[in-house]
Amino acid sequence: MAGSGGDRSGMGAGLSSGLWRAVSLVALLGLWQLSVTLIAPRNLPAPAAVFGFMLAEAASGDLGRHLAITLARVLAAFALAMAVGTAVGIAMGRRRMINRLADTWLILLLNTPALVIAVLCYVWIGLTETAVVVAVALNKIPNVAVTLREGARALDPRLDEIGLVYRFSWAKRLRHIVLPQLAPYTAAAARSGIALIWKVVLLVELLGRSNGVGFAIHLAFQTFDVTAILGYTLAFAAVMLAIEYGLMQPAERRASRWRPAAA
Amino acid sequence: MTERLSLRIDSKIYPTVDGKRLTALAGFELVAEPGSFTCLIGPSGCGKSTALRILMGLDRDFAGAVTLPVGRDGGSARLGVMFQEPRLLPWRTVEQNVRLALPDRERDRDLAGLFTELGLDEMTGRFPAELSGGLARRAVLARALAVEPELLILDEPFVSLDAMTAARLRRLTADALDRRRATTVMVTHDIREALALADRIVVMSARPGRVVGEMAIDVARAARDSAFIEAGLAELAGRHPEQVRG
Repeated sequence: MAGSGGDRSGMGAGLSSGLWRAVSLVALLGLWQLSVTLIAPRNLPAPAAVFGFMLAEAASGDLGRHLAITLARVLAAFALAMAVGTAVGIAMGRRRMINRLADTWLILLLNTPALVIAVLCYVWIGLTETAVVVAVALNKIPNVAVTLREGARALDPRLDEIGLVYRFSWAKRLRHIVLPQLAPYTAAAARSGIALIWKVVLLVELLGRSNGVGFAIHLAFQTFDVTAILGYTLAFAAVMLAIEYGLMQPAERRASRWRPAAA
Repeated sequence: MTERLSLRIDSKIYPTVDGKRLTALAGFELVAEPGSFTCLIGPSGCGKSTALRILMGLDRDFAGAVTLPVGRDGGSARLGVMFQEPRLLPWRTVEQNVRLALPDRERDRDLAGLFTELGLDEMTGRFPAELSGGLARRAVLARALAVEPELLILDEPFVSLDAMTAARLRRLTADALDRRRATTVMVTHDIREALALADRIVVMSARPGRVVGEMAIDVARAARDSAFIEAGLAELAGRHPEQVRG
């Protein structure tokens, strides 16, 4: 993943890796502009047109409104999926019986298309925010559980025994012994999680909501408005990049500051 | 005498990989007076560490009975432990590691005196990965003593240290124990170490392990010089030639 190389490097390497990211971004924009100028495809607007659209939408308040509601759904579903997936994953990794029982369900859920889960949630729960969050979380929970199960299997029994000897409560064991050992697995699940979740949120919004980025793209699709589709996509991608670099990576660095190589 | 420690293991059986059953301990019995320092020695594989694990409550799959000394609040004894490896939580600082072992209502107790006693004043904010082997053991000793244990269990706590560091830690541990009154049970391969620290040495047979003899030492720890230790070693080797080589 993008950040793993940066975790152990110093300031200089961090700077140059930032530089490389900027270069690759500019190259992408250049390629885009070049293909518009040279090939002039009918359904590909120029970058300037897309950014102009984004500014206009931002000025009208629509962009902010749709982004905010989608982001709220993403965060709620993410929190729910991480919490439930972690609990299930730990239980499955620690207890062979639970693993045997839940394994088939997990594989079933992993292979159920997002569309099916979304439609069923709307039918069973209703066209509500709860249905959105549950549908999206259900799409992500099996991935989190599978990743965390691997982590739970690798837990060090020798540290467990320290918790037993000094009579840690289970909350204390979870917080100080189990979760820190699972941190790399949690980080991996969170990374792939947030990317998957926002894709599914858009699908669920398109199916049954009258706001959010998915709804805006749905409207644009009805008029084949590629400028609007790209504008909304880019805007939300920017938000996700900000979360990745502004929240996920600093959080990971903080969680691994005890590692000798990072000190 | 309700606070006396007693450990009786009628049998402890391990299933082996090839489906057989391996008897690690059979007819093992150990009683220790409050405040005493007992050291278990014996050939490797005789079940010394297994006996300690049963004593610590980490292994409950055995036939027999464990009676721990009574704790200060009437409950079972508070335990302090040192394993062969430090087993500090790598993601917590030295001080956090020590404080985490304390019961929640004692979490904010003043530990400055303990850290000074063990020479850890400068180390409290460090993470375990930043400590040398010797310092890590000191932090582990601090964790074990911070809880003010009624029962202290030491499973070869000074292995894999260089001789000088091990000697210094042994002295530090002896001094710390002189100031406290914890019933201590230690396992070691190093009979000189046993003679330097314990006030009773219990000799175990080869597997299945049981007690074959014991030797009381009533000389103060500080007064045991190398001549005393060599004499003790010779005596033990004379009494138990199979278990102890001089």
